[in-house]
Amino acid sequence: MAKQGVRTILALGAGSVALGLIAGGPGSSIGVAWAQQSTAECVPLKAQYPDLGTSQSISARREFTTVWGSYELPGGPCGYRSAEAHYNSLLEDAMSRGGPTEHSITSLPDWSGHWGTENSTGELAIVGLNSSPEGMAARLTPDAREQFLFDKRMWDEDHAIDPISFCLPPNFPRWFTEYGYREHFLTPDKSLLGSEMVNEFRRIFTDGRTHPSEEWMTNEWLGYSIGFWDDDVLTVWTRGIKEGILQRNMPRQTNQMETIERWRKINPVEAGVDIQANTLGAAYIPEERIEIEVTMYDPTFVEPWHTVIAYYKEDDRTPEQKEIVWPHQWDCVEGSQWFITDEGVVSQYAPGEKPDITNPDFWFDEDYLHQ
Amino acid sequence: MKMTTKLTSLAALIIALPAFAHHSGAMFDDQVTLELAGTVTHFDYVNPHSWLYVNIETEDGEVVEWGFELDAPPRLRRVGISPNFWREGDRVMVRTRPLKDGRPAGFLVGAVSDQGKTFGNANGLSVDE
Repeated sequence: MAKQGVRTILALGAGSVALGLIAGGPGSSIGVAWAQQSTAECVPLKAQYPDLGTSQSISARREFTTVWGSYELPGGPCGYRSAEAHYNSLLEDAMSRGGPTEHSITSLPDWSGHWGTENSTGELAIVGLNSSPEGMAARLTPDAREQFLFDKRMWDEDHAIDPISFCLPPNFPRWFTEYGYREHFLTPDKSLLGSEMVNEFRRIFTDGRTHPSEEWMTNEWLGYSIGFWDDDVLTVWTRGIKEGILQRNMPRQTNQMETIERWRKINPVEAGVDIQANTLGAAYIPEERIEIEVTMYDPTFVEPWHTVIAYYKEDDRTPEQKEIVWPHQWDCVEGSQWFITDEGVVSQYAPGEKPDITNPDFWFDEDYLHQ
Repeated sequence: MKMTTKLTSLAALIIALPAFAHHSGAMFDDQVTLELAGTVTHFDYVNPHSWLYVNIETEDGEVVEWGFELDAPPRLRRVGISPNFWREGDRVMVRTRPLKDGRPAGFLVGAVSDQGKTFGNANGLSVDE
């Protein structure tokens, strides 16, 4: 039985970041015992449900050809036992090759520009074919399955309320599946990964820190992310996420969800992938794509849920494109025009029904303030 | 200028499914499509959804301002809809799926304007002279 907690890495290769600790996120249940589950102990979902589908993007309703990211569940047929085990396996692998990589500001990958999702204009699905009700239900433990089927009925009968309709932010990993431009700001000790919707930026700490202790840990919409670089691959471990839903019409997630991501920029054209021009530049074929493997661990999942996401670089090479390709401020309260009726359904204000809260005269209306 | 209001059966129209990215479309009546003519009062190009406001003159001469919901700017810009696509005073004919409860608002399915601007499914729409 491996010891629980942390262990110090004594030998670091040249060019390695002084990442002193491995494993042992506070509250860790398995410490460094990150061996994958024995295949004798599990029956992979793919074996139970051959039609479940695995090669579907988190960011598009259709399949797309990945260049680097794999749809195969990491860690063997049933995956790793935990996000911690998964992360430590990747970290140990990097260390075995002299990593993690200690980047300078100039050696970091170039992820500049504005990025869009593969299909850009469509409603985004988190797992494509896997997002069929049957496929999603198969991934859940019995209680969670019952809850999901109840929630699904509420969606079908228009009695479900999407939290983002009332300006709560998309939680993580739903953050991946919302539209709008993406931005990435990389520094040696921290990466900011931004989504236009609700101006949401994730902070990925790559300075060797662990997650906060239980004393200081919180549950927030995007969680708390730590990571490391392995050459041009950014690995991220996220904990402390609020409970929520994966996406509209999709299962709930608990506040125990943890995720592992691996981000890398590739060139799909060089790789021979047949790419259609995107909707912004008529003849523009994006030669820069970031592929992200995402593995979600939640107590309500019967096995880790794994998929691949892709963003491509938008065409802003011309002055005309620069007029369009920039993220707008997402002032949700100003543009939000919805309320919940007595019947429990979401409805929309008609003109004049909602106070104009953007009008300074409203802020200083004595009759209103003193009523 | 004679303003017109026309009720059209959904079955008579081929309407692209709107993308309700930020909220469900349950509030709108998917069995009714209205075609309404009027004058733009303002166009709010804001997140999470944009809004076109139009003064509609009813058959008894009353003017009622309607609000029509569109997609968010991140999607509108991809189909060439700028913040000044509609301006105050533009005359428009809009096609909308109205609220179920009859209040003057709906989802904007399509529109044409006297400035030659066309949005969404505007098949058959025209601006009265």
